[in-house]
Amino acid sequence: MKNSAEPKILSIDTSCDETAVAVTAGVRILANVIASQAKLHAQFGGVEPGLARREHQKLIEPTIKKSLEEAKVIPTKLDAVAVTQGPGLAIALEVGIAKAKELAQQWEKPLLAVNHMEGHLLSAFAKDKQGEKGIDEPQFPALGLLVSGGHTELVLMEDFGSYELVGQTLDDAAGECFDKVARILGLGYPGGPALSKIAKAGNENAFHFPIPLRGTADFNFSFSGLKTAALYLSQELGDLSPEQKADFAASFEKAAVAHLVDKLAKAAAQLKPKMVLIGGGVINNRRLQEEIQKEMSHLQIPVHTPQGNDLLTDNAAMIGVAASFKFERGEFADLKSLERDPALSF
Amino acid sequence: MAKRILTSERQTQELAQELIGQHLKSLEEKALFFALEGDLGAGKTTFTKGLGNFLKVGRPIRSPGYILVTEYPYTREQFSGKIFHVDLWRVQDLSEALTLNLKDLLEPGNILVIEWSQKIPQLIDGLISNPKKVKTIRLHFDQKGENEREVEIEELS
Repeated sequence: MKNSAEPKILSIDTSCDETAVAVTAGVRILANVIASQAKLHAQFGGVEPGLARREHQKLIEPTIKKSLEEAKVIPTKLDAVAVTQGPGLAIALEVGIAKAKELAQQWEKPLLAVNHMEGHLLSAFAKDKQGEKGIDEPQFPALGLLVSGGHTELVLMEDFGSYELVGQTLDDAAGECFDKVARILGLGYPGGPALSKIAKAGNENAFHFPIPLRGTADFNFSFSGLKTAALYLSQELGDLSPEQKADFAASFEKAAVAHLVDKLAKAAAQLKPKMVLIGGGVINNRRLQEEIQKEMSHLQIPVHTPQGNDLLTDNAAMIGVAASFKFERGEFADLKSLERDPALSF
Repeated sequence: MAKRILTSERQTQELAQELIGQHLKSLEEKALFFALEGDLGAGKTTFTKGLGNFLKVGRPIRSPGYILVTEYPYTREQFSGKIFHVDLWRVQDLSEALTLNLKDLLEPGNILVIEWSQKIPQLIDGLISNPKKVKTIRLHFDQKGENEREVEIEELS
């Protein structure tokens, strides 16, 4: 086994909707391909990216091919193959794992099994091809806030490979809540971004939404109450004018963001991290990023965000980054026994 | 068909426990399928939490939401299996639903729960077509007020 300071790894993530493959050298991204964005589904007569979701079986090979081409790397030059083991949708995870096993065997490379959420947590460590951006000097302990369509978690990181889940949602994930409220307002899918867009012009104090779990000492989240509050309010108000929709969106967004930042701040004050890491698709929300930066600067804790939006939504480059640290620690997977774990957690 | 009024989340969970208690025996030979109909906030996930608590699945049941299907293994004295918790909220149509291969999950000991089952009736028809393999109970949750739900309960097989 070649011992390399910058292991070249091909990583696969098929944890839910997207078929994603990346090639990384250490934490440097050489290629980061997402099948729907690369329009690879067009080869099969698919027209809309939406219809390409979870066509993992069809898309995995063209996506692998494209990522190796973009990275200008041939399989013999790789040091390992990595794949997301979980969490996610079982039948989707299985496709990536089967393919990763096949390639590891075919190319005679060791296999690494990665936790999708560890990928999100370490996404701010990713550098570009030239080695720019990304975190140069990590300071531990670090506190991670991971917010996506399927997950909302707070993780304490003592060091690479040493994680503790210190808070999570008790019911709905934040992204899911945004999407459902967007649907209540009659906005398209994905609703989260559409809701944030109209919220910009709205009055955030027009309606009152309760901020969940305000008084509890723990670092958990809850979004189902906000969802039902939005539902009852919309039933009360009846048909909404565009201005009212904007106000509704702004007011809801204010409460949802306040809830996330409230718990982050509580955890930071108690756990005293030296840096905060943020990751997950909902971090795309500009208001959320601003409020996080504001709160953490009060506490004088630096906040690290992944260098590009393509590292926030589901992708395989973050898996490659996490895999590179596992490679250094010698944490390899057993080709024969590796199974998907849809409920994998820290 | 039976109708019940529920005035709290606890009552919704108790209803789940009552129903699974009644049909526990059939799990030794068939799968059990709960088709949950109802809008946002009607109590579908709360009901499912009741099932999870009864079977002591060991971790809190949450909305599958984005992930679409989540699974919770359980063990009883005589048998074991998994609760497969499905959410059709994000699923667009029958062809997308079929990619989830839900029919494969109908093994003895398994409990399939589908939230928003009213969205894709053909999917449900396909799943319940063999009564020897699965016992099906359809529940329709209707929100009557902030603290009131009316539930229709129907055994389809």
